[in-house]
Amino acid sequence: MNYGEIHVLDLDTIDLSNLNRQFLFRQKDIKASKALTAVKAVQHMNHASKLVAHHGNIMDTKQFPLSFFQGFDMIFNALDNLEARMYVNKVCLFTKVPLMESGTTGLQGQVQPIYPYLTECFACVPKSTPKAFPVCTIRSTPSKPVHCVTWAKNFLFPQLFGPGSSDLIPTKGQNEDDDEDDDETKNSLQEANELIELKFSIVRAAEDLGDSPDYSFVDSIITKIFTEDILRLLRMENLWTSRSKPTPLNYSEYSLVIKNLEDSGLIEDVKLSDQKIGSILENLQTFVKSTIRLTKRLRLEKEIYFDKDDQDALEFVSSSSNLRSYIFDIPLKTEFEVKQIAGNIIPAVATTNAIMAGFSALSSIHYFISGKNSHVAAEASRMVYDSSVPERFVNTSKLAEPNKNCKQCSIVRGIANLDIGTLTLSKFRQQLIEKYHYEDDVAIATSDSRLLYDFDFEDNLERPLKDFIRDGDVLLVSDSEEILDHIELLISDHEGEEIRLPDLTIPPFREQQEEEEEGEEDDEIVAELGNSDGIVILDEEENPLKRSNEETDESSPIKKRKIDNLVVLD
Amino acid sequence: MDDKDVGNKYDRQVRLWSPSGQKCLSNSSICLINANTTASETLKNLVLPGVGRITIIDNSRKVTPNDLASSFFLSDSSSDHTRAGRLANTLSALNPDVEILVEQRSLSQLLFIPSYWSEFSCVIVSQFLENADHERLLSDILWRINVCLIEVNSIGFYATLRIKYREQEIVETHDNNTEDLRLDFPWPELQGHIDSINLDELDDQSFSNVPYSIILTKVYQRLHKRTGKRPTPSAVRKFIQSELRRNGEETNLDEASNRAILVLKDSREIPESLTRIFEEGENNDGSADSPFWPLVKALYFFYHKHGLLPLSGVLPDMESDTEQYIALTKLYRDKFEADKKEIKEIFEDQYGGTVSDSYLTTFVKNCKFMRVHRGSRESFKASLLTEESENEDPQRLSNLNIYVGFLALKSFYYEYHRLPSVSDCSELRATAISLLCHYQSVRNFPDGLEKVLDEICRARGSELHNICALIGGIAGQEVIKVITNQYVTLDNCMSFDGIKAQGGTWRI
Repeated sequence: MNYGEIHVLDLDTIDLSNLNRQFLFRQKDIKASKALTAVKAVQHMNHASKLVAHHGNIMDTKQFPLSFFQGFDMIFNALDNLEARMYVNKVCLFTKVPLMESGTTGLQGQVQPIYPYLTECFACVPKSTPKAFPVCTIRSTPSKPVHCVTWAKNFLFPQLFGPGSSDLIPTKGQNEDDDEDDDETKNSLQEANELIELKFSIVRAAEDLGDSPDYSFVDSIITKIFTEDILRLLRMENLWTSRSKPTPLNYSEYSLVIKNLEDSGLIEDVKLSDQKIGSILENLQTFVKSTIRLTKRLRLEKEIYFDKDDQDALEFVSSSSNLRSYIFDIPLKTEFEVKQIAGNIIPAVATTNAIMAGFSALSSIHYFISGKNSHVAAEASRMVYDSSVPERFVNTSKLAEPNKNCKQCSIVRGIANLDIGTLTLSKFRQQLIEKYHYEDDVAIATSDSRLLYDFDFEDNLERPLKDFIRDGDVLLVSDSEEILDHIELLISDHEGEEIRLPDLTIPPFREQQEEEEEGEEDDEIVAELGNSDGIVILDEEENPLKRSNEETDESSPIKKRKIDNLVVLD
Repeated sequence: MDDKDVGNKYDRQVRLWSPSGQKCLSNSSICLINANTTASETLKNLVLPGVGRITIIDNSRKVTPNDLASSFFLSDSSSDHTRAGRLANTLSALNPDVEILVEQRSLSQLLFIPSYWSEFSCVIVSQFLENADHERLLSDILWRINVCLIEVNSIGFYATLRIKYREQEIVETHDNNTEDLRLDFPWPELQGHIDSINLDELDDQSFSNVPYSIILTKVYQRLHKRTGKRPTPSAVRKFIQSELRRNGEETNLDEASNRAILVLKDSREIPESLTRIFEEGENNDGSADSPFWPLVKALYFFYHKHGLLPLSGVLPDMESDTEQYIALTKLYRDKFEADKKEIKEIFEDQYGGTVSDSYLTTFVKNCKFMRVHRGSRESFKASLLTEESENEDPQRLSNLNIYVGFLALKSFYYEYHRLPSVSDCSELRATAISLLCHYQSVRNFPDGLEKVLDEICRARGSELHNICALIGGIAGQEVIKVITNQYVTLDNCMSFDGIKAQGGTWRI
């Protein structure tokens, strides 16, 4: 389509599992930067557009300050997580740059053109958030495979191989109260401390594992987490009054076989089909093998984070979660299934990506042929989603109006250019009142609700803004008389320059909406796992980069048109 | 790469079509005729997921500047190679597992060797063959041996896709509704289990762990007894709220209320698609190598006898404790196995065949939502345009116009051996009229067709990469569905309008 300049951003490197759908990547590119490789591959195709690759996190304000985004005519999102999507959505609201939001999962996908404040933004429709599990279910009373996987991945694995904490936590006062919670807390603390000791033993083993390997530390890990910890849980009788009790692992039944395998060095050859449910012995063997391998790696890598495509880590999580499931009489899972649960894996195929990338690029035409008129483009654009109903392949709908109660786009916002090093809060306040004609006074707070100033909190007035915020931060300004509505100002630092506040039309004051309704669980894709990184993940899309049309075809609907810059996020 | 690596490479897709589907892919052989941009985009989507072998027939065409302008897979330096050869090279680099061959013989030669075509799982024709005779010959051969023919086309902002496949039996349709709780018809063992649970006697903890399907069945039976009728979801919800709630925090009751709609589901009902399969099964002796039709007959016998289909055995996740959930899982699994065994016995007794356990399991699990597609070789159906204009769905009509436009374009191509440009508008229109007359479907020229024809002329036969990528994605998807015999294939025609970003499908 001959776009003038295309910037490609990605923080990731290429993995084997990307190759089933990425025609820009080859086997030899594994571990290389996705952005750089994609750009190189497209340049190789004799592209006329100027291509620039950025290897980095889109949310890194140092590498990608607001001014970076302002330089583009359009942004294409092909992101795989909610946090980054929300972030780019917000950036586009501040900069008013149109956004093509897209994603796929399996054979389904959607493209949503977003023209800030004219059409629905990404935040206008509440997104379902993943299920969370109570800590005690994970730690003490699992009842489903997912609980055990979560335990293995988010608790055991980081404790043993991650950065973890290396300080022993003091056990709280020796109070003899038989309260279940307290009992559980004490129990967890003790468990945690013992784990830290195990971690020490692993670190020590990592240093020693050389010529004459001593694998006894693995035995003590097994005995502790699958026998002793369970015995301790059993002692908390009130946990088991209405639940069936777990059965601690009888390791002595298996230890000899394992020992033989270790001694003969055959343990390294243990390999279980990822489609079969392993026996207890097989899971134990896999556990021992992966623990040894991870420990060896620890010597070089210092700390290992769980990655679903890291075979050792996956085998460790798979086997330990299965052993725990066995103890709690929960059905075991195959490694393939565990990978899905632990990795929040969303299936991804070349075909759906091709279709959605095609739509995404196609939708952008509306904006550029209208001479970058958002109003015209918003009217002409369609939201596209394909449906699993075979009778209707492609569904389209007109772009919806912004949700009046949207937490993101119902708020008036703009960019304030100023020098945070010299401008004081007092001066800033004065400028605000003058510029926007506030009746009396304003309140100023940071985006994380830290109050900087209001009429009875004047302590900060003479301090420069840099004491509270950094370049790129957002400040919330509200009218103390509640006549005008709240506004958000994104602060852009310009050293030595006079303050420039944006021209804004502030609507009358509205009551703040109380807590939004819990997003009804609809067909939205819900990731299975509840934890900090358990966000809804759509696997990444192809880069909708286009081949130039070298023939100047006068009758072609998109004849050589000068299109400026755009950015592709992956 | 060892096996595990292959597994990892295809991990994200195996989750859609399972290792058995992947095996079908890697054993498949695809033939593609005409290596233009649409074709290369389609092939890319087949090379990446790892089909076995691809054969390209392109009659030794050379790379043209037009190809270079729109294709991602051809570059300048390669102008002196044949188009197919160059494409094969680039595509091979994408995935070393796939064998890509360039056929040196011309299509007209190959059409006289019917046996040549039997190795293919699917034949894709991009754009048009040289003439109507070739089209007829190819379609005859493939129809006879029941090999799927896919025709894909893209010009300017328009694209079409047509599947000509004599017969396809799809067992694994991946329908989302395979969960089968039998709330209204519990079998004796399930009923016994439900009766053994006395909700009133349970302590709060155990009470809140009773799976929602048991709650719903109990409520269903209580209300049914009272009124003699199938209860409504709102009555069920009310009952749960007023008679079962204890502290208001029972998540299993929340689940039961949220899924109260399930009481409306009549376990005896079967979808229309299955009724039609049963009807067809009556007279179909099937082929000797597939147990499908005999199994359909066995299934019909079972359904006739019990008034119910065999249990799918698929149980959703429910709020519960391990013990209760496992007990329930076991009941459903046992019933599934028992029903499966009965089907097998009927099958063996009456039809004397053999069937593998894995096929039988898949069959029983998915039988409710199986599909049989009977294709057609016709290019057009006279009733289509009259139906559409009567139904007055402007969106469908406009998509149908695109399909008719491409038919006219094909006739034009067969006649003049080139694609039309702006000066050919009137010829193309005349072709369209004679075409519609041929199908006897014109009382008047369809609204909007003229515009479509003009747009086709304006595009001067050029492919837009963007549209090619999109239709290539859809075509690739359909080929994968055909090869794996999973998911419901397009039945059997679609067109895409890139100007309106709008697709339409219909059956010919």
